[in-house]
Amino acid sequence: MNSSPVTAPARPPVPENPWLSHTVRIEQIVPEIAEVATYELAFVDSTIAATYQFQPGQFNMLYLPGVGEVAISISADPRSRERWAHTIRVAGSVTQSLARLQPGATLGLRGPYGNPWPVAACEGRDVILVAGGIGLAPLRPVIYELLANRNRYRKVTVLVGARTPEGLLYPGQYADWKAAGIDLQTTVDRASPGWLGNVGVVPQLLDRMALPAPQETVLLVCGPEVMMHFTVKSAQRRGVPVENIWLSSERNMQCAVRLCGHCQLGPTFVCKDGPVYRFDQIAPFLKVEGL
Amino acid sequence: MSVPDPLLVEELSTSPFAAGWPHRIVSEVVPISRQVLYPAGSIIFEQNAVNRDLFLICSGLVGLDMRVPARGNVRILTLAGGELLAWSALLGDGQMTATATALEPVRAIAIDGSRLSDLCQHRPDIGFHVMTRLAESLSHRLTATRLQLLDLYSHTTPHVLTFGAREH
Repeated sequence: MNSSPVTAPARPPVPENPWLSHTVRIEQIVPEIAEVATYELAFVDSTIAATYQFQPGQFNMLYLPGVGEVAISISADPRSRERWAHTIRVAGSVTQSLARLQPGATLGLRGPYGNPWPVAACEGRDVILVAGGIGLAPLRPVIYELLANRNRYRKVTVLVGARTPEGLLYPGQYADWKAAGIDLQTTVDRASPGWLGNVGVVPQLLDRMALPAPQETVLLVCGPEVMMHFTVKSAQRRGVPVENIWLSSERNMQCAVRLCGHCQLGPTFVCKDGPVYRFDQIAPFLKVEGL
Repeated sequence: MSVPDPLLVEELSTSPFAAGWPHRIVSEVVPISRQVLYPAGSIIFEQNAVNRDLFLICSGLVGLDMRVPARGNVRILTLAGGELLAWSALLGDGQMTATATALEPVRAIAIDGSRLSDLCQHRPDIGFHVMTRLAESLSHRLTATRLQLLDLYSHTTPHVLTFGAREH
């Protein structure tokens, strides 16, 4: 049992030269859902690969010469030593250009950046991960971490919401996650013919869950802000303390080193102080339209 | 005078619907309630049919489908343990607005809608508790429906996070 307050993880060190991009090669492209694919990237320089480490929740800046840079959360297993997965949705010019690349192509990568999920603080507690849409990508490294040390955590629940059954991310891994002791539940906003699972929004799954020890439950949430808002409300109504609620926020991250100011959220910068925040650190700013 | 089923009393008093109700209120509702079981795949009620029971789902998953011309039955929602089903039995004329199907074995408490309505009318203290819980349930369902309408995961929706690919 662990009912002490969840403490923030230590801020990971930033790369020695945060502006330096390293060349990575696309080893594999795994189509996931419509306009979303996972890119398995490997460092060309083996000495970089040998020392590169990230923590769940961190992101990299991917650079396409002549096109630009984009912040992409890392969806890989933190124990990866050869390939690092990045799940990317086509949204703007850089990701559109990325989508045209084939395995073997090279691009630049700098990182990792940002504050991670408080995984170590989840030890001895019930852990609930709530993901909406592509929000499962930044949470997948947490799942890998929890599975690698499953006995350190009590009940682990993953709640996944998507627009349609075809929009559920990483469905091929669900059976393995369940077999490894995760209570995984899915729901969709719109059912397709033949879908026999839940229909409704993901906060409803949390509403239905038994929370025998809310004081000893940690909630990690990533998805559209409206979905996170109602998920957090549900958790608070059930008695989960605010210091146990963490979410991954996102803004327009351009420099990743708190210089350009594009990702400012209230007094914080998402690239440096986030993307993972304790809910009460950013709650007042989530209510301000335009921030 | 019949002795109330202790399992039914226990099930009802520990349900989210009656949680926190004084025992005297629960004991008034028990005589108009009964436990029901539906095997997976069975129809609990059909759209447009008259159903007189308000259901409190104890366990299992229930699908709510609406018939749409040229699209057939469209599943609009699923309900699970602790949730209410078939409000029209209490609030309306009993004509169901959707078809309810047990997607798994479903255990529920069926409360006679017209007798519950009479009870609420003649006993305002019971009416207050029942209608408060019903309004809470409706409020939650309305919020959830709004979220579905927002189509949050559509990447054409502006101001919606799509982590990992926000570019300007």
